[in-house]
Amino acid sequence: MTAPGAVAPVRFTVDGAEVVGKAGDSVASALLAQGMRILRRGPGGEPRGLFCGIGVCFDCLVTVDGCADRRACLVPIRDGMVVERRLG
Amino acid sequence: MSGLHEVDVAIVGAGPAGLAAAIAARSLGASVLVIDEYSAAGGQYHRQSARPGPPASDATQAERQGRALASRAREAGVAFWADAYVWAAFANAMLAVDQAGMRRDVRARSLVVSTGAHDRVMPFPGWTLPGVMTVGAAQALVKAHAVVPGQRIVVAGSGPFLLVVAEGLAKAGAAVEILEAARFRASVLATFLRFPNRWGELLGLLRTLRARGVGLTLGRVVMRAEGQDGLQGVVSQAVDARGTPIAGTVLRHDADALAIAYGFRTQVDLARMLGCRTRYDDAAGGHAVIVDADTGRTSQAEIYAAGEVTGVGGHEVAALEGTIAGLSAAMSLGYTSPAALSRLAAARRGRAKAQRFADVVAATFAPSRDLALLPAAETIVCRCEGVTRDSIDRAIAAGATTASAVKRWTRCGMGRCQGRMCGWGLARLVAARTHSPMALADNLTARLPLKPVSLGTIAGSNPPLVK
Repeated sequence: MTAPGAVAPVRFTVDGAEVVGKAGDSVASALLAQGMRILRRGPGGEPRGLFCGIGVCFDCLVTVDGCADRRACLVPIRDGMVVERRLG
Repeated sequence: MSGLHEVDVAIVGAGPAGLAAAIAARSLGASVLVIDEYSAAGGQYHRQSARPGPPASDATQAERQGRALASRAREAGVAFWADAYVWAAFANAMLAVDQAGMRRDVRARSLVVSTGAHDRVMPFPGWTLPGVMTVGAAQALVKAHAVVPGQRIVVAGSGPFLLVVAEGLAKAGAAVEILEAARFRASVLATFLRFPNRWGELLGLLRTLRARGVGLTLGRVVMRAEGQDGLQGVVSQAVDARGTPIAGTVLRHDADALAIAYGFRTQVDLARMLGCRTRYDDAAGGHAVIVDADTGRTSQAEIYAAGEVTGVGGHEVAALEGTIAGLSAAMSLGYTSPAALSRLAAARRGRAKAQRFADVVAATFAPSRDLALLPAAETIVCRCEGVTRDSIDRAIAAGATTASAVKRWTRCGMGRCQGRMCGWGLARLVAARTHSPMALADNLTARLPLKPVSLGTIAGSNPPLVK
């Protein structure tokens, strides 16, 4: 049960580790709320994170449930969702 | 694949302009479909909280208005496709739509393009560091998700939007500092004084910022962002009216987030793909779709444009243009009502008045000349392809005189974002180096598909993406 006014927790994994977000979070906002700023690496290996936040820049691409190149700023989190970052 | 969807008026973009157009066209009896890339209507201005449940008691006026407009449209019978974007457009207002991985095709008798604008950014050293984001990104995080991107946030760039977003971030608990690049001139202030109906709004905003301890400095530009795996600090410098840094004014600011944008850039890719003619106005967001102000009609038959795509002017202008375009589109198909003409006349008068103020704002915050010199030689200009300023310089030295010539030479602007992020900075750089006008230099063209689309979507064989 969730108290009135409280936001239900949503449990998902990022690179195998469990992350708890809140209902209504995007992948990017849930990770940022946990202090996880790096979402992938750019062409030169440099870290990248959320940039435009509105689905325009394609800098926040992550793999969601096996589907590559999803925009972390637009995809809402769900219980059991598997998110992978390309940090290699 | 769900076959061809036919409709009287299709509207692309559910921001203030698109929602107003939808309500107007539907009110005359036309069937209306609104297509929008987000899961909730409202666009950036009316962005809704994504949290489930009733609206929070502290919802902003913009959010409440957006909710009311969207339900008004829905109750009137406007169809709404969310999570859907137009990836290609063809003659006769044929649109190819990707809705969460499913292909949907639309044929509209009339089309209203209200695709809005996005933050305008100038590349600078360190701008790819996580923690550096657009002003719009910071606002979306706070408005939709109640997430603050940092504890110490610098809000920088230019435009009244900085104040609005800084207020939201400060209310959400962050320590915020605003660095506004513009230095207000007396003539601009004198012009602003002619709009007394705007004073209250501005003074209220300034009062809240002061009460929250938000510092506001004019004539100061972020020169670089510093950090290892993420932002740790920002270096700023005072600039003169041309944007030239003034020696001896360098400051370092501790920050774990930087929200930065120099106004907005119009999103005209769909309109241009449809063949609509544009004009160039750097202060109003770059390429702007040319419309007949009385109807919103573009150079293409049965294609209308409204809102920021016709030149950035803010939500009031956008909504009035939406009403004009929606009424005109429906009337051109033979729909009408006894009140239609008087509603059209009222919207035209309102638009003209709101536009006068929008013009003052645009002139006040027009980006200065030397912003183009911000990127250092090794700065990545094109975030998608990792193209640095020195490789762009080499292309210019070898004869490239426009952004699209540099694109073919270096791949700058050829990545997934199709130059939406780097296009303005690239064009400014080319214009500065070759002493050519932005109207010529800023000529990247988005190609089909306008946004990445999977082959499975094009073939219509995808299972829908789980949301």
